[in-house]
Amino acid sequence: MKLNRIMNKKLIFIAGIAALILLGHYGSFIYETQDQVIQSFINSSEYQNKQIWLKYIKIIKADSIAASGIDGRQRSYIFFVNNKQLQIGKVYALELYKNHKGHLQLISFKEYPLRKAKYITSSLSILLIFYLVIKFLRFDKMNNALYINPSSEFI
Amino acid sequence: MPDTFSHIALFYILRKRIKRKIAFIAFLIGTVLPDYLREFALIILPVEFSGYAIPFHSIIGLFIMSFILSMLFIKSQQKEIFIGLFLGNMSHLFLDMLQVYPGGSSLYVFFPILYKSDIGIIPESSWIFIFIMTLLLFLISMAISEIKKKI
Repeated sequence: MKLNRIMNKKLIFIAGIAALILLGHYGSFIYETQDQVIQSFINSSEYQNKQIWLKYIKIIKADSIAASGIDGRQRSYIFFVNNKQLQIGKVYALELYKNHKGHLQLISFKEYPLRKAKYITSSLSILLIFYLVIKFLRFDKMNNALYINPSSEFI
Repeated sequence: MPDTFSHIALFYILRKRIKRKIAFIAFLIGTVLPDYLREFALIILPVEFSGYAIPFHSIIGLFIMSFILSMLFIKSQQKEIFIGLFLGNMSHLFLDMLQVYPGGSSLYVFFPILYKSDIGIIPESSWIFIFIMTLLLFLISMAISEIKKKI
Protein backbone atom coordinates (compact mmCIF):
# COMPACT_ATOMS: atom_id res chain seq x y z
CA MET A 1 0.00 0.00 0.00
CA LYS A 2 2.78 2.37 1.05
CA LEU A 3 4.89 1.40 -1.96
CA ASN A 4 1.90 2.02 -4.17
CA ARG A 5 1.51 5.50 -2.73
CA ILE A 6 5.21 6.26 -3.24
CA MET A 7 4.96 5.08 -6.86
CA ASN A 8 1.90 7.28 -7.40
CA LYS A 9 3.77 10.22 -5.95
CA LYS A 10 6.72 9.59 -8.25
CA LEU A 11 4.40 9.38 -11.25
CA ILE A 12 2.75 12.67 -10.32
CA PHE A 13 6.17 14.31 -9.93
CA ILE A 14 7.35 13.06 -13.29
CA ALA A 15 4.09 14.05 -15.00
CA GLY A 16 4.19 17.49 -13.36
CA ILE A 17 7.79 18.18 -14.32
CA ALA A 18 7.15 16.91 -17.85
CA ALA A 19 4.18 19.29 -18.12
CA LEU A 20 6.36 22.19 -16.92
CA ILE A 21 9.07 21.33 -19.45
CA LEU A 22 6.49 21.15 -22.23
CA LEU A 23 5.07 24.50 -21.19
CA GLY A 24 8.57 25.90 -21.03
CA HIS A 25 9.33 24.59 -24.48
CA TYR A 26 6.28 26.38 -25.76
CA GLY A 27 7.38 29.42 -23.75
CA SER A 28 10.64 29.64 -25.64
CA PHE A 29 8.61 30.36 -28.80
CA ILE A 30 7.10 33.35 -27.04
CA TYR A 31 10.51 34.89 -26.64
CA GLU A 32 10.60 35.03 -30.40
CA THR A 33 7.31 36.92 -30.28
CA GLN A 34 8.81 39.21 -27.69
CA ASP A 35 11.64 39.94 -30.12
CA GLN A 36 9.06 40.97 -32.65
CA VAL A 37 7.43 43.22 -30.06
CA ILE A 38 10.75 45.01 -29.56
CA GLN A 39 11.24 45.18 -33.29
CA SER A 40 7.78 46.64 -33.77
CA PHE A 41 8.54 49.21 -31.07
CA ILE A 42 11.52 50.29 -33.07
CA ASN A 43 9.48 50.43 -36.25
CA SER A 44 6.57 52.19 -34.57
CA SER A 45 5.44 55.66 -35.55
CA GLU A 46 6.16 56.79 -32.01
CA TYR A 47 9.81 56.09 -32.51
CA GLN A 48 9.90 57.12 -36.14
CA ASN A 49 8.37 60.52 -35.42
CA LYS A 50 10.40 61.43 -32.38
CA GLN A 51 13.69 60.17 -33.77
CA ILE A 52 14.87 59.63 -30.24
CA TRP A 53 13.63 56.71 -28.29
CA LEU A 54 14.26 56.27 -24.62
CA LYS A 55 12.81 53.17 -23.10
CA TYR A 56 13.50 50.48 -20.59
CA ILE A 57 14.44 47.43 -22.52
CA LYS A 58 15.33 43.96 -21.46
CA ILE A 59 18.11 42.37 -23.45
CA ILE A 60 16.63 38.97 -24.05
CA LYS A 61 18.39 37.41 -27.00
CA ALA A 62 21.96 36.81 -27.82
CA ASP A 63 22.76 37.05 -31.48
CA SER A 64 25.06 39.70 -32.80
CA ILE A 65 25.03 43.45 -33.09
CA ALA A 66 27.20 46.45 -32.48
CA ALA A 67 26.23 49.98 -31.62
CA SER A 68 25.79 50.77 -35.31
CA GLY A 69 22.23 49.58 -35.38
CA ILE A 70 19.74 46.85 -34.91
CA ASP A 71 18.30 46.83 -38.36
CA GLY A 72 20.63 44.23 -39.77
CA ARG A 73 19.25 41.14 -38.17
CA GLN A 74 15.84 40.51 -36.81
CA ARG A 75 16.91 39.13 -33.46
CA SER A 76 19.98 40.95 -32.43
CA TYR A 77 19.94 42.50 -29.04
CA ILE A 78 23.47 42.42 -27.82
CA PHE A 79 24.48 46.02 -27.45
CA PHE A 80 27.95 47.35 -27.10
CA VAL A 81 28.65 50.73 -25.58
CA ASN A 82 32.26 51.87 -25.62
CA ASN A 83 33.26 48.29 -26.41
CA LYS A 84 31.54 47.09 -23.28
CA GLN A 85 28.87 44.51 -23.84
CA LEU A 86 25.59 45.00 -22.01
CA GLN A 87 24.69 42.00 -19.95
CA ILE A 88 21.87 39.87 -21.27
CA GLY A 89 18.81 39.63 -19.08
CA LYS A 90 19.37 42.96 -17.34
CA VAL A 91 17.03 45.88 -17.81
CA TYR A 92 18.49 49.02 -19.28
CA ALA A 93 17.34 52.43 -20.30
CA LEU A 94 18.64 52.80 -23.81
CA GLU A 95 18.76 56.00 -25.72
CA LEU A 96 18.66 55.31 -29.40
CA TYR A 97 18.45 57.53 -32.42
CA LYS A 98 18.13 57.07 -36.11
CA ASN A 99 21.18 58.23 -38.02
CA HIS A 100 21.30 59.73 -41.51
CA LYS A 101 21.44 56.27 -43.07
CA GLY A 102 18.27 55.35 -41.27
CA HIS A 103 20.11 53.05 -38.92
CA LEU A 104 19.43 52.95 -35.24
CA GLN A 105 22.30 54.09 -33.15
CA LEU A 106 22.79 53.67 -29.46
CA ILE A 107 23.69 56.93 -27.77
CA SER A 108 23.82 55.95 -24.15
CA PHE A 109 22.58 53.44 -21.68
CA LYS A 110 22.13 53.10 -17.99
CA GLU A 111 21.18 50.20 -15.84
CA TYR A 112 17.66 49.98 -14.51
CA PRO A 113 17.40 52.64 -11.79
CA LEU A 114 17.86 51.38 -8.25
CA ARG A 115 18.44 47.88 -9.51
CA LYS A 116 20.91 47.22 -6.72
CA ALA A 117 18.40 48.29 -4.09
CA LYS A 118 16.30 45.36 -5.23
CA TYR A 119 18.87 43.02 -3.76
CA ILE A 120 18.00 44.45 -0.34
CA THR A 121 14.32 43.68 -0.80
CA SER A 122 15.14 40.18 -2.06
CA SER A 123 17.37 39.58 0.96
CA LEU A 124 14.64 40.73 3.32
CA SER A 125 12.11 38.40 1.74
CA ILE A 126 14.61 35.52 1.90
CA LEU A 127 15.08 36.21 5.62
CA LEU A 128 11.32 36.10 6.10
CA ILE A 129 11.09 32.82 4.18
CA PHE A 130 13.95 31.34 6.23
CA TYR A 131 12.13 32.34 9.39
CA LEU A 132 8.93 30.65 8.19
CA VAL A 133 10.76 27.50 7.13
CA ILE A 134 12.78 27.16 10.34
CA LYS A 135 9.84 28.00 12.56
CA PHE A 136 7.08 25.97 10.95
CA LEU A 137 8.45 23.32 8.62
CA ARG A 138 9.12 19.88 10.05
CA PHE A 139 9.95 16.47 8.63
CA ASP A 140 7.80 13.47 9.49
CA LYS A 141 10.05 10.40 9.43
CA MET A 142 7.13 7.98 9.70
CA ASN A 143 5.45 9.25 6.54
CA ASN A 144 8.65 10.37 4.85
CA ALA A 145 7.06 13.73 4.17
CA LEU A 146 7.11 17.33 5.31
CA TYR A 147 4.50 18.96 7.49
CA ILE A 148 3.73 22.37 8.91
CA ASN A 149 3.73 22.53 12.69
CA PRO A 150 0.58 24.46 13.55
CA SER A 151 1.49 24.82 17.24
CA SER A 152 4.36 27.25 16.53
CA GLU A 153 3.50 30.91 16.92
CA PHE A 154 4.26 33.83 14.60
CA ILE A 155 6.39 36.70 15.80
CA MET B 1 4.62 45.53 -7.68
CA PRO B 2 8.08 44.44 -8.62
CA ASP B 3 9.96 43.96 -5.36
CA THR B 4 9.88 40.61 -3.64
CA PHE B 5 9.64 41.89 -0.08
CA SER B 6 6.37 43.77 -0.72
CA HIS B 7 4.80 40.57 -2.04
CA ILE B 8 5.26 38.70 1.24
CA ALA B 9 5.25 41.55 3.78
CA LEU B 10 1.88 42.92 2.67
CA PHE B 11 0.24 39.67 3.75
CA TYR B 12 2.53 38.90 6.67
CA ILE B 13 0.88 41.82 8.47
CA LEU B 14 -2.34 39.74 8.60
CA ARG B 15 -0.66 36.83 10.43
CA LYS B 16 -2.61 37.22 13.71
CA ARG B 17 -5.98 37.58 12.00
CA ILE B 18 -5.99 34.44 9.86
CA LYS B 19 -7.31 31.33 11.62
CA ARG B 20 -6.20 28.71 9.08
CA LYS B 21 -2.55 28.71 9.99
CA ILE B 22 -1.27 25.89 7.77
CA ALA B 23 -2.84 27.35 4.65
CA PHE B 24 -1.66 30.83 5.61
CA ILE B 25 1.99 29.77 5.98
CA ALA B 26 1.78 28.06 2.58
CA PHE B 27 0.14 31.22 1.25
CA LEU B 28 3.03 33.39 2.52
CA ILE B 29 5.60 31.11 0.89
CA GLY B 30 3.48 31.09 -2.28
CA THR B 31 3.54 34.89 -2.49
CA VAL B 32 7.26 34.91 -3.32
CA LEU B 33 7.66 31.48 -4.88
CA PRO B 34 7.12 32.58 -8.53
CA ASP B 35 10.06 34.99 -8.34
CA TYR B 36 12.42 32.45 -6.79
CA LEU B 37 11.39 29.70 -9.20
CA ARG B 38 11.94 31.97 -12.18
CA GLU B 39 15.28 33.25 -10.93
CA PHE B 40 16.40 29.70 -10.15
CA ALA B 41 15.41 28.56 -13.65
CA LEU B 42 17.23 31.53 -15.22
CA ILE B 43 20.38 30.79 -13.21
CA ILE B 44 20.58 27.09 -14.04
CA LEU B 45 19.43 27.30 -17.68
CA PRO B 46 21.52 28.66 -20.57
CA VAL B 47 20.33 31.92 -22.14
CA GLU B 48 18.73 30.16 -25.12
CA PHE B 49 16.41 28.36 -22.72
CA SER B 50 15.19 31.50 -20.92
CA GLY B 51 11.71 30.78 -22.25
CA TYR B 52 11.50 27.81 -19.91
CA ALA B 53 11.11 30.24 -17.01
CA ILE B 54 7.84 31.64 -18.42
CA PRO B 55 5.52 28.99 -16.84
CA PHE B 56 6.65 30.12 -13.38
CA HIS B 57 4.72 33.34 -13.85
CA SER B 58 1.62 31.81 -15.37
CA ILE B 59 -1.52 30.38 -13.78
CA ILE B 60 -1.17 26.94 -15.33
CA GLY B 61 2.55 26.58 -14.51
CA LEU B 62 2.06 27.68 -10.92
CA PHE B 63 -0.94 25.37 -10.55
CA ILE B 64 1.29 22.42 -11.50
CA MET B 65 4.12 23.68 -9.29
CA SER B 66 1.83 24.13 -6.26
CA PHE B 67 0.49 20.65 -6.83
CA ILE B 68 3.98 19.12 -7.02
CA LEU B 69 5.12 20.95 -3.88
CA SER B 70 2.00 20.02 -1.90
CA MET B 71 2.74 16.37 -2.68
CA LEU B 72 5.89 16.67 -0.53
CA PHE B 73 3.71 17.13 2.56
CA ILE B 74 1.83 14.64 4.71
CA LYS B 75 -1.54 13.63 3.32
CA SER B 76 -3.65 15.40 5.95
CA GLN B 77 -2.08 18.78 5.07
CA GLN B 78 -1.75 18.39 1.31
CA LYS B 79 -5.06 19.99 0.37
CA GLU B 80 -4.62 22.99 2.63
CA ILE B 81 -1.03 23.54 1.49
CA PHE B 82 -1.97 23.28 -2.17
CA ILE B 83 -4.74 25.86 -1.76
CA GLY B 84 -2.47 28.14 0.28
CA LEU B 85 0.42 27.93 -2.17
CA PHE B 86 -1.78 28.44 -5.19
CA LEU B 87 -3.61 31.43 -3.72
CA GLY B 88 -0.25 32.92 -2.69
CA ASN B 89 0.98 32.48 -6.25
CA MET B 90 -2.16 34.14 -7.58
CA SER B 91 -1.70 37.11 -5.27
CA HIS B 92 1.84 37.43 -6.62
CA LEU B 93 0.61 37.41 -10.20
CA PHE B 94 -2.14 39.91 -9.43
CA LEU B 95 0.31 42.38 -7.87
CA ASP B 96 2.72 41.85 -10.78
CA MET B 97 -0.08 42.55 -13.23
CA LEU B 98 -0.56 46.02 -11.75
CA GLN B 99 2.94 46.98 -12.90
CA VAL B 100 3.75 48.60 -16.23
CA TYR B 101 5.98 46.46 -18.45
CA PRO B 102 7.82 48.73 -20.85
CA GLY B 103 10.12 48.05 -23.74
CA GLY B 104 8.70 44.80 -25.02
CA SER B 105 8.91 42.83 -21.80
CA SER B 106 5.66 41.36 -20.61
CA LEU B 107 3.91 39.16 -18.10
CA TYR B 108 2.40 35.88 -19.24
CA VAL B 109 -0.24 35.19 -16.60
CA PHE B 110 -2.63 33.48 -18.99
CA PHE B 111 0.11 31.69 -20.92
CA PRO B 112 -0.33 29.77 -23.25
CA ILE B 113 -3.73 31.32 -24.03
CA LEU B 114 -2.93 35.04 -23.89
CA TYR B 115 0.47 36.64 -24.36
CA LYS B 116 -0.19 40.00 -22.75
CA SER B 117 -1.82 40.28 -19.38
CA ASP B 118 -0.52 43.31 -17.53
CA ILE B 119 -3.02 45.90 -16.29
CA GLY B 120 -0.26 48.52 -16.13
CA ILE B 121 -1.29 50.90 -13.34
CA ILE B 122 1.94 51.27 -11.35
CA PRO B 123 5.04 52.50 -13.20
CA GLU B 124 8.05 50.23 -12.84
CA SER B 125 10.17 53.05 -11.44
CA SER B 126 7.84 53.66 -8.47
CA TRP B 127 8.50 50.30 -6.83
CA ILE B 128 10.83 51.93 -4.30
CA PHE B 129 7.95 53.97 -2.82
CA ILE B 130 5.83 50.84 -2.50
CA PHE B 131 8.74 49.07 -0.85
CA ILE B 132 9.23 51.89 1.70
CA MET B 133 5.49 51.96 2.46
CA THR B 134 5.34 48.17 2.89
CA LEU B 135 8.46 48.17 5.06
CA LEU B 136 6.95 50.84 7.32
CA LEU B 137 3.68 48.91 7.62
CA PHE B 138 5.64 45.75 8.38
CA LEU B 139 7.76 47.41 11.09
CA ILE B 140 4.70 49.05 12.68
CA SER B 141 2.89 45.70 12.77
CA MET B 142 5.94 44.02 14.37
CA ALA B 143 6.20 46.80 16.94
CA ILE B 144 2.50 46.54 17.81
CA SER B 145 2.73 42.77 18.33
CA GLU B 146 5.82 43.25 20.54
CA ILE B 147 4.05 45.87 22.63
CA LYS B 148 0.97 43.64 22.94
CA LYS B 149 3.17 40.76 24.10
CA LYS B 150 4.72 42.87 26.86
CA ILE B 151 1.36 44.13 28.07
